[in-house]
Amino acid sequence: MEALIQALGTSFSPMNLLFMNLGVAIGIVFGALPGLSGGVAIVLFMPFTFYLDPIVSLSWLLGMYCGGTYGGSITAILINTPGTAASAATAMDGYALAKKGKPVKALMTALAASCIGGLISTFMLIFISPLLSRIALKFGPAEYFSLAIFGLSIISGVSGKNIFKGLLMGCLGMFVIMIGMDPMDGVQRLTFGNLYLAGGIDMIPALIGLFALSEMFNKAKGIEKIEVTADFNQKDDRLTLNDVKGCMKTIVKSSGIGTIIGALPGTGAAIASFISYNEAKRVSKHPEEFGNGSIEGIAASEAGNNGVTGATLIPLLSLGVPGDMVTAILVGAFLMQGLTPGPTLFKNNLSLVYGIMISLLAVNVFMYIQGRYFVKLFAQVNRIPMQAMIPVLFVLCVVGVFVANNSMFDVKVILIFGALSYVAGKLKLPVTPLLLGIVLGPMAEQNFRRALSLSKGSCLIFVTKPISLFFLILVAATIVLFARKNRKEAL
Amino acid sequence: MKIRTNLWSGILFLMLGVAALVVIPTQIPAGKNAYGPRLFPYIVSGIMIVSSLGLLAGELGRKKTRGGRAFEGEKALKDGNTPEDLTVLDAFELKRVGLMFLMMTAYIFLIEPLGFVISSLLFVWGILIFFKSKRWSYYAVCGGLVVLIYYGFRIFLKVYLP
Repeated sequence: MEALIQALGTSFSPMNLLFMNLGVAIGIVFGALPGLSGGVAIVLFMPFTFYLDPIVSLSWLLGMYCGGTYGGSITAILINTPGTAASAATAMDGYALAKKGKPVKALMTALAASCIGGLISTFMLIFISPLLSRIALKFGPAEYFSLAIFGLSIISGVSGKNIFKGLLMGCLGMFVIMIGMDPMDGVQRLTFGNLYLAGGIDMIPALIGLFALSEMFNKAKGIEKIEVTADFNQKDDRLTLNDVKGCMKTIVKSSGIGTIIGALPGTGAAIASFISYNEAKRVSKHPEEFGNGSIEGIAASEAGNNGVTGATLIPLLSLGVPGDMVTAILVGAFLMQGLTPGPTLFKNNLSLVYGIMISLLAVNVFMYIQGRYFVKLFAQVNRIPMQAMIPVLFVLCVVGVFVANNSMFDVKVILIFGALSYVAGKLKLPVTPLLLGIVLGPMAEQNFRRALSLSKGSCLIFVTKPISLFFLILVAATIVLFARKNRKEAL
Repeated sequence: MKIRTNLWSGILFLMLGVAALVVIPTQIPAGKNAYGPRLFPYIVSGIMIVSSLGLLAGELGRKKTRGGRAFEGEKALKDGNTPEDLTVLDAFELKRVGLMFLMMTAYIFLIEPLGFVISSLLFVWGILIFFKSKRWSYYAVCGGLVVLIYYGFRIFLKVYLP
């Protein structure tokens, strides 16, 4: 109770409220700009959280996450260009409705559905993660190793059509994180005598190089000029209470779908929005309207993709395993604050966990308020000249990386990871597995060696412990499931 | 130029995996027991080699069957699509990306000798020229933002940029 009161105090402090709103606004802007996303915003601004209180910094980044997920729908609706993959389903009906002269109605439907989806998802986070973390507190090295392998099995879900490519990138990520001091024996590994490498590769420059620089390189060829032609001044262009009531069932159901999908590692907002959309179309009384400007379609897609936002934090907060790319990036934010996501967080920093949950609820409410009153302003985001934004963003990347560790070596590291990300893109190698390797590699290695040390070198320890065995079965099931799905898609 | 992504990824990572196996004994001291600092790097190298061989086997196996995906990939490319296992390298794009990368590298290496403000101003204006931007307001706003970032950090966060 004391922790809850403390969390309430911090969550509703003027500083936190300010940063939550700032985060939501930044997220919406980044989400609305094609090529950028809430994830890129988190990566860019993460180094600056070093100077903030843990709850304030995490609320700020969570604001970007939720805002970014919603922001993607703005360009999807107005110019038929989804800001993020998660809004691709929204474009089908959103753009059609905007073309019929009702852009405000389309944007408001997306906003209301996003907000409700986010809130339902956060409530699930509040109820489920404490229960999971209580179980996780009983884990030993064998269980943690199997859990890390389960986390790494997400690679099969984010590898596209070829699981080998994902595995290769995951291995590369694990090699990257092996550079530096061995966490158990204290010896130097793969440093080639370089003093700068002795401390290892920091996660922040790696993240910025992988996710921010690659987007800048993608714009190098040329920048398309985007014009928003939607008319916001039509008389009957508004979302009525009856409209909301009419699609409330769809919103709640899609939020549930988003929540379940978000809690499953390796899935994500894009899958959630498409499944929600298809399900809404399947049960709709007017399926013929889907694709022609159905507000049910917009609501389903947006409630589905924002339903993921709170749920992806369930495995992260309770087990320490990121469920998707954004939560893997958020691990870096936790580490910057000296916190390790996982069950010990509930034990040692309960007020922080409550703070995160309360802030996430508030973020969704602020997202609604901002979207409601500044929708016309956000619709103009595409007027921001990308050619001027790119150099300023790069300067911010450099400053962010420099201030995080006061190291020019780290600044040079972003170039290597930026180039790596570009080459990976050209070879159609997925970057998320590399990030998962970086995040989960140390957890897997340390617990693997600890478990072997306890069992005097016997690998049976991983199958004789029931929870460990359970996770290993889950790993096998996950790989088989995704392999079958990929095979189906390939045929 | 077309590139078979599976083939080249397989070759690249096979070389990396083998190189890792060679490098591990020279770069990682042996531990006191079998599960020391070398164990995990060896396992990861093994997975890397097996995965790259899997990728190569899949690619070479597909090439043999005319009706396989390699053939479909070529067809998709002719139709204007880029399938998963093929990528088209555009010389113009590579030149632009290479130039941008060079500008970024030069900027980072010039920060220490020239200082943050001068090097950043040169960089942002250089990128605007790179994008053939003709509006002077962009140059002014970007320059202003650089100065704002520098003094913002110096005054509010007490961080001294080089």
